Amino acid sequence: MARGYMGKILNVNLTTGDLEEEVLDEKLCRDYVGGYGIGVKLLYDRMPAGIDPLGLNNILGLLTGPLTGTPAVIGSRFSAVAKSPKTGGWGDANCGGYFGPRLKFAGFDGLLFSGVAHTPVYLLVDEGKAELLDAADLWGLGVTPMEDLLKERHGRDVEICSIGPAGEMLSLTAAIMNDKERAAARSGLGAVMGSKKLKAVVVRGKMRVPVHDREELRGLRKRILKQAAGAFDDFHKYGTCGITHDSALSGDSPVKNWGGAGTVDFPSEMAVRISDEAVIGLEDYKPYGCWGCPIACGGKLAQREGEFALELNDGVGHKPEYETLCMFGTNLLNDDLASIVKINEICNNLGLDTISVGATIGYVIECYENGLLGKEQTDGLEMTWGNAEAIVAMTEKIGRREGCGDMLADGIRVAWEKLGRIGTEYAVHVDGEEVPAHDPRYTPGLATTYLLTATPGRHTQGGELLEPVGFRFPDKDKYEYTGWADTHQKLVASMEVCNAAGLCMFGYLSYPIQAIPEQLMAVTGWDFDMEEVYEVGMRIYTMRHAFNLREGINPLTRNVPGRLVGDPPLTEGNVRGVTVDYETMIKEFLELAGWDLHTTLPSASSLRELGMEFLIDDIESLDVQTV
Amino acid sequence: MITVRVSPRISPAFGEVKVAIDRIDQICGALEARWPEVHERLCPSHGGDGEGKKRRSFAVLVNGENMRFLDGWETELKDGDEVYIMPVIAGG
Repeated sequence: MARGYMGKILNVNLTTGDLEEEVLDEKLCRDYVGGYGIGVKLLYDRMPAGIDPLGLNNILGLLTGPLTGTPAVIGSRFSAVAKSPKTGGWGDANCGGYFGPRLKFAGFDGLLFSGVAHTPVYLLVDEGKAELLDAADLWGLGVTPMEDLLKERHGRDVEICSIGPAGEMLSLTAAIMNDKERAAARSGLGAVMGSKKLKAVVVRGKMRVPVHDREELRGLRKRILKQAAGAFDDFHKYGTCGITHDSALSGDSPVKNWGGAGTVDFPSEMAVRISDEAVIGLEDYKPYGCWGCPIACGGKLAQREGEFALELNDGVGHKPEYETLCMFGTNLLNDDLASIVKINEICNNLGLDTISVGATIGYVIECYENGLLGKEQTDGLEMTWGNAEAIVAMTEKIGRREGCGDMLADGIRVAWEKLGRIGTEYAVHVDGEEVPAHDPRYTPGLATTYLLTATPGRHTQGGELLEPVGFRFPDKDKYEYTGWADTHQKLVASMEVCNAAGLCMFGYLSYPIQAIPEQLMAVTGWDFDMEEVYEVGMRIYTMRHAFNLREGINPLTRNVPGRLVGDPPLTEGNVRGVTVDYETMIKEFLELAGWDLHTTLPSASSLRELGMEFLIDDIESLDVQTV
Repeated sequence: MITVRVSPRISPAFGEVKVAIDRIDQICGALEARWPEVHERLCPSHGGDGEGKKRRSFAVLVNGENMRFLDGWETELKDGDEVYIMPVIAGG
């Protein structure tokens, strides 16, 4: 077995209670690297199409990559995978913290959960030994008190991955949490974990991850840290909150539920209150880093007094990330930082996706402001732009499925249906997934990522948002829509490998992109260069797409919210007049990838080029909707 | 005089600087002596890749308006204008 892997995954049958170790297939790892790369191949092979994502036959995976838990920069990540109850297609989510490395130190590259437990359980993995334990006393607890209890029970040196009450109640906006306030939030996978009555996974271990050439890796790390020093400084100081003000003005952020303009509706004097210095200037601010991370872009802060005092961890919580600051700030015209810090605590403790919940509240506010909803439907809350108290209260209701929160807890698409399809223009989602805080009207290539990728509406799946060091963008205006396909393909492919390898994308942004194959070689011993990275990345991208095709999903049939692409365009602000020609960009990408322009079915030749002949018969037998 | 501010991600200490320029592309010269580290980040050597990177890596707002809606680097400035310079994103 190549290095970087512990060499085995654990299959947990929650229905029978059986635990079975499985040797990890080396070819699977060579072809798909790790994380959701191997996850999608395993789940495609082990699950038929058409299963209920919240039923017995879905498989939930927690999977690391070969660089997770190694000195690679930054080897801290793991993926959660399953069929998504939000989209009915492929689902994955990515997370840092400490759980991923600790899972490997406990002896496993991943865990696959099948079936449904009869009563709530949690899994303990301790230095290679695993057992399912009763979680009756944990069920119903928030993430923070539950982690405290489990650490008292099993020791302070364990790491924990879990769901909060939102996941237990099968809310589609539920996240999978770790280290209390890090989240694998997207695709509704918290609900999948809840549907299996799996409350938590607790891991302890001190095993060493084997590395092919430790000296080489040490040298690489030293070189990378030296090369990336300047970029890391910004991230260390502010983390992602550093961009909030700038993104509000530039047009990158959604403003007023994607219908406003930063310079008009959320100008500098408002944006600065929820950005950079304002955030790190909060009481007792200290940086927080995920495992092995030289950046430490996270942070902890205290908020012990006032209307929005934090109630947990002695009044200390994690710094809200940009996505949270924007979706509950810029997007809702809320410049009350204390309220957003409180919302972050609520979401983390109840186990919620802050992007989805912030977006859902944006939909509700706009419906309310336009007379489509009244107080009788919002439990008396005055859901108006910037009403911090109401926004906080609604977030808590959503997390607990209380009152009107029950209707909103599954996100925008479900709420829109339940409300009788009101305010369609205000319902900004793609195929049920709420869109993150980066606007395609500012970064047009994101339209292709949001609309075409197997997991729609995701900003961490590669694309023109993030220009890797050492990667040349074409020297052309971003609003010239032709000629981007090759760039886009390389960007999404390299991000697939970064994610599958267990690397944090913030490292990927700060050091030369060639460091990805260099680190993979040093750890695994396999030959990698950038061409191999692009090929493997496209293989993972195609496999995720194939999972969806088998479910009957043609991404060309996805809904395209007008506000996402400037149809009609804004008339004010720094992305005014922009209507994104996403059709041209997607068409050129499909042509390059060798996928049918109407069905997106990959051609047999394109599959052969990627070594995916096994898919040819499956693809040829499919009958997907044609556009 | 023109007020120049930069994103804290470029320089947390920069604050507000008053410069006597009448076109955006004169900013590089105005910053070079007093703020060499900002100048270095914003203004790589002219020509070839340097100009391209300058165009792509930073957004420049004049009174809140992206200079692409004006005359780009050749936008003329008048007394009292405010210029804000920021990097083009990063993720999160």
